[in-house]
Amino acid sequence: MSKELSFELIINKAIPTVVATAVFIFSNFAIARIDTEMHFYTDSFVSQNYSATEKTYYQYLGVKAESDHFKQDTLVIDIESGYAVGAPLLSYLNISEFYFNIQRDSETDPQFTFGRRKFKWSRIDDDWSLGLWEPVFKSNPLNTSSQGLLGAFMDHRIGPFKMMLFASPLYLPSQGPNFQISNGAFVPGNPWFRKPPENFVFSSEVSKIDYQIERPKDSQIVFQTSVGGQFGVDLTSQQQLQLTHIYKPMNDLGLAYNAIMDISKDKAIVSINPQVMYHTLTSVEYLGEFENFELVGHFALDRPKNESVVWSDNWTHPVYKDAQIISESIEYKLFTNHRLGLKNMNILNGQVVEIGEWADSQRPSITTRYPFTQASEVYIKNNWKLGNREWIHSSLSYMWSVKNQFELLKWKLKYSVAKRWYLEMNMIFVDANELSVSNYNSISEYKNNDQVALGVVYVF
Amino acid sequence: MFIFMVSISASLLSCQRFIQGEKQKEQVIVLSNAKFNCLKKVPEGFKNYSLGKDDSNEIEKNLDCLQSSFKYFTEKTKGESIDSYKIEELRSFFGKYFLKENEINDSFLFELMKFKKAIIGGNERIITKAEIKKMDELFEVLKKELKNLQPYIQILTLRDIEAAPTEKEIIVSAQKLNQLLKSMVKKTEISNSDYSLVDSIAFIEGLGEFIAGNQKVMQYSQISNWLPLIKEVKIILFGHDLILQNLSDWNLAIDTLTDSWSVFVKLNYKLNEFTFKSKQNYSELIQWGIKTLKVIEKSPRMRHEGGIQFNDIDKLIIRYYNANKSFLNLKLETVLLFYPKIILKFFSNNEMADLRSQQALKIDMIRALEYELKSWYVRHTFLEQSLANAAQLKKDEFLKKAQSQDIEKNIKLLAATQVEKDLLKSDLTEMMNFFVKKDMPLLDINFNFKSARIDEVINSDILFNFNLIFTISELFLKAYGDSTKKVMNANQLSRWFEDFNQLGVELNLFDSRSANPSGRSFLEGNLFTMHGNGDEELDQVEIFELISNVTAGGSSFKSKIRLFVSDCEINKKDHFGRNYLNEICFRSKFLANFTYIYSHLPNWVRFFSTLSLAQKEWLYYYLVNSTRVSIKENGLIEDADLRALSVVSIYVDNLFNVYDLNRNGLLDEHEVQKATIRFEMFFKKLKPELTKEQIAFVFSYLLVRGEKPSEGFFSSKVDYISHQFDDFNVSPMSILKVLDLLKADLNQVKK
Repeated sequence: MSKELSFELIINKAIPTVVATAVFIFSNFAIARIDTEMHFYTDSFVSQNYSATEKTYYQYLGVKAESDHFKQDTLVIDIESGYAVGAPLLSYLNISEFYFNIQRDSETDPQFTFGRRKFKWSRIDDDWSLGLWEPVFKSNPLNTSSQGLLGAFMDHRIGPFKMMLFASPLYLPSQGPNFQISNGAFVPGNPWFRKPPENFVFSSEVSKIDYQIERPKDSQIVFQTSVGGQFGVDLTSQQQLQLTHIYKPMNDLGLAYNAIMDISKDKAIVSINPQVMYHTLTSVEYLGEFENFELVGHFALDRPKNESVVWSDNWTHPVYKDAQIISESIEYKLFTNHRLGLKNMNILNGQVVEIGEWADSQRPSITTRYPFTQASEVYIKNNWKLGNREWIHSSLSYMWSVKNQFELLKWKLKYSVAKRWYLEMNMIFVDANELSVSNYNSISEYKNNDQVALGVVYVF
Repeated sequence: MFIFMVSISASLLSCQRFIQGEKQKEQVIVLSNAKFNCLKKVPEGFKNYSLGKDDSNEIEKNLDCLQSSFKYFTEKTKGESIDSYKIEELRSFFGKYFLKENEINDSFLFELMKFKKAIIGGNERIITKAEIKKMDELFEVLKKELKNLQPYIQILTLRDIEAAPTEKEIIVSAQKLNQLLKSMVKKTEISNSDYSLVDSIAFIEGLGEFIAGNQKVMQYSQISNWLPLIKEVKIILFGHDLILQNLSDWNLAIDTLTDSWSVFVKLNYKLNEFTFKSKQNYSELIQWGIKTLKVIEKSPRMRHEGGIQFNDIDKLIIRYYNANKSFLNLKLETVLLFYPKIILKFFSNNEMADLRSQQALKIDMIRALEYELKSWYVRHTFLEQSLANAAQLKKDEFLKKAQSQDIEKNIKLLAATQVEKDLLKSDLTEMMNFFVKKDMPLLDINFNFKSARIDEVINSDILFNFNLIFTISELFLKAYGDSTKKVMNANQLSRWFEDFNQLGVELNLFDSRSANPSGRSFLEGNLFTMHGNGDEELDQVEIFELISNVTAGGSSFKSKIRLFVSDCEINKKDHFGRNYLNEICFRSKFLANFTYIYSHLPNWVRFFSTLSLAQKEWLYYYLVNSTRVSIKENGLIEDADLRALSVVSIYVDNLFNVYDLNRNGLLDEHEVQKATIRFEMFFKKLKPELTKEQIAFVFSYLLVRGEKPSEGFFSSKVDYISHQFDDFNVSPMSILKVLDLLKADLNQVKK
């Protein structure tokens, strides 16, 4: 018997139908103006030691619908889906935004929005995809994007002051790679899903592990309270200071687990119990946008509420420590179309330790809180106009972490070849040292997933 | 487009370092087995405990480990069913992860589950988690009781320990074992189960193998040697099909078990090196015997069936011999033949019973045997106490002390009933009367080779031998004699010899070559003991003295004499497996060391000192010739010769003690006349036509002249007249001469 147990996806399973219907209805009533693209591309894994799946390349057919240029419309969406040919686990649907604007009479009135909306809570999320404030779409963990929080928003600006209040009874966690468990084993098929170890060693003997997810009811996941807000002040016309605070569920679920040996089959049955953990985030952010450069400084406190979930004694469960996150970046504008940036981020403390029967200080927690805890990045973004219709967008970045011992090189090229047609290239290369207890991060896990994606885009 | 493609190619080429990165290692979860880690030490812990090496009370930690492991195991594992485990599942799990060196084989697993069923219920195929939980209480009891037992475990497991345990330690160790077993039975379902002792033996067998594991430990391999024996003991004590039905039955069975183990432990430590030479051994053997008999008497089998089949006892003895053990070096066949004979002859009321028809050791036999042992022990204790810890006492002093003793106090400790108490008291009184009235003969000489005539000094050795021989003489009379008159005739003695000749031969007490041993012994008892009267019966005194003389002149004397003549041994074995002695050498050493060899016979030493060198040679000639078993012409002396010359020396000494009234070392006319009465019957048997006067003449003539009187009418008259003028100075040498002649006559009678 096989069943899909990626419950992030499961949560979204009902949604696509609703969303598709809504998009159709509202676009026909001209309350939403949407840019639509169709993608066809091939994703190749080029590492010599790639072994995550048997196949090393996949073809995708994707659609993206986005209200990028029409944020003031009644309905704003940002939906992307991809169908991987012959690899169902790689197919995805990312509804990162879907909200309604309540029209206001004047600019001075507060603006109300309802739905899933991306908001600039902090540049940390944008710069590092830590998923602190907003959930992250991690179908490809090396190429993530943020997703909006689901709830009610109120924006209001009075002179140099701006304010945003947010409240929600609903919660959607980050969306990770799809996976499937069949007969207790993770089905291979998604190179981005890091399957947990298949074997365990006990008393010097190796035996198999059967996994099972003890999934809480959907309602127990979805119905969660979030309250937060942001207060900003324009110090000058070029400088802003923002204070943000939120109390909400963490975007990644806390994973507790329990193991029982089935001695009749000589297997360990590992049950994983995901639960929603709460935390409060408080941050101060400085933004300076000057003529040729931009400065951002950020400090955030991430204070988990470990008491928000009470696991019974037989569960080995995570306990989160307070974390302090410091990030700073500078970006130079070179001419009009080129930007060069340097950024750095450090997370102090913030460990996740496990408590319980199976906790082992020599093994990292199975719960991931931050993809990495220290990194620096240099990037350059270019726009070259080659002719009337030809241009190239390039985005090249090199991220490295001394603490987490990895290097991540990304290059994204978009080349317009004709009206409505583009070529796209996306390269991601990782080099990393072996994972260890002291160095556990989500980047190094994919050191053999060096990827080159080539595709073509048609814009409707 | 060109730029686009070039960019991609250049990127790929420049990123080789990334592409060729090392392969991600497969992750493996290492689960901590800390909670079970201690299990690996459990077999070793139990082994140490059972070997008595558990100085730091590891057993408690090991039981804690088992307890927590079981708890943890039930929490963290499941079988095919969530609430229970099949036995195969358990074996493969523990075999794979923990007990790699200690295999749980099929039969042990089966016994383990049977044991489990008995103690916590359920069935033999599965064990439920609830049943495992029930074992918690059991562990608590075990922890406490095994801790209590720990100081005694070496004793109980028969380990070789520096100092043999005391009687008290053995008793306490058995008590602790008893306490443990009863606590276990009380806490478990075993008393309501059909678990049998056979099952428990099989369980122990498997447990022993399991604990020993791959590294075979000598002590555990011995278990397999002992278990068959234990199984037979079990049959003897508990029967073939005994079912213990309730707690009371179980408690009684445990009492029997621990009591029997206690006697076995004592046998192992105290009586393993049993020797007839040590009086301490006898005392302990008797106590052990009483206790053993009590165990048998109270055993479930005796209570339920009233007897134990000899066949079952046979099997135990066979097992015992199969374990390379033996009893007094006797052959298995001999033991199997004689133990029922001894029991039935000496301890059965039915004296005339056909031995083969008596198929079982009955409770009355056990009680009779027990009584005799008690009686011996009461007398022994009484005599020892009368000596009052002194090394020796004059006879008068000893008697004074004995008479002031509280007889009842000694008996009280052992007597089970008033009847028994009275009987023991009467036995004791009888022994004391015997002791007081009679001038005792020479008893054993084995203790320090000192003279031990009871009328001279009383010491512990004398008392011991006295009691031992007194008891044997009583048993002889009870079994074969006229129990009313307390006498035994020649035929009765002959029957005893017939019954026990083979046993005596195997024990090297009898010489298989000797003809008519019963007749000779009868004559010796009648003629040459201190109180021999020459009649047609042996009374208890004569029997007592006969045994004393034979014992004193037997192995004890032989050992003594061999000390002085050891240089004469040649590398050739005699009938009894001892080295022959070269006679020339022997004669020289014997005569040279005569005073030391005969230090226990002062009359002989005194007489020897009066002899010239030539006379000494003649003394040797007569002494050896009159007693010799070996063939003279071979020039060798054998063990039987030593024994015979020793016994004859004592006999001669006895005659002088009785008839040398003036103590001058010679018998005068009057003294010879006195002696004649004793020998009348003997001469009458040789020549029935002789008158009393003729016998007196022949006897005195033989003694004085050392030869027989002539048989012709005239010559006999001449001899008679000439004999009236003879000097009556009959010396021991003269008697030896006569014995030499008598020996020739006896041989003629035999022919």
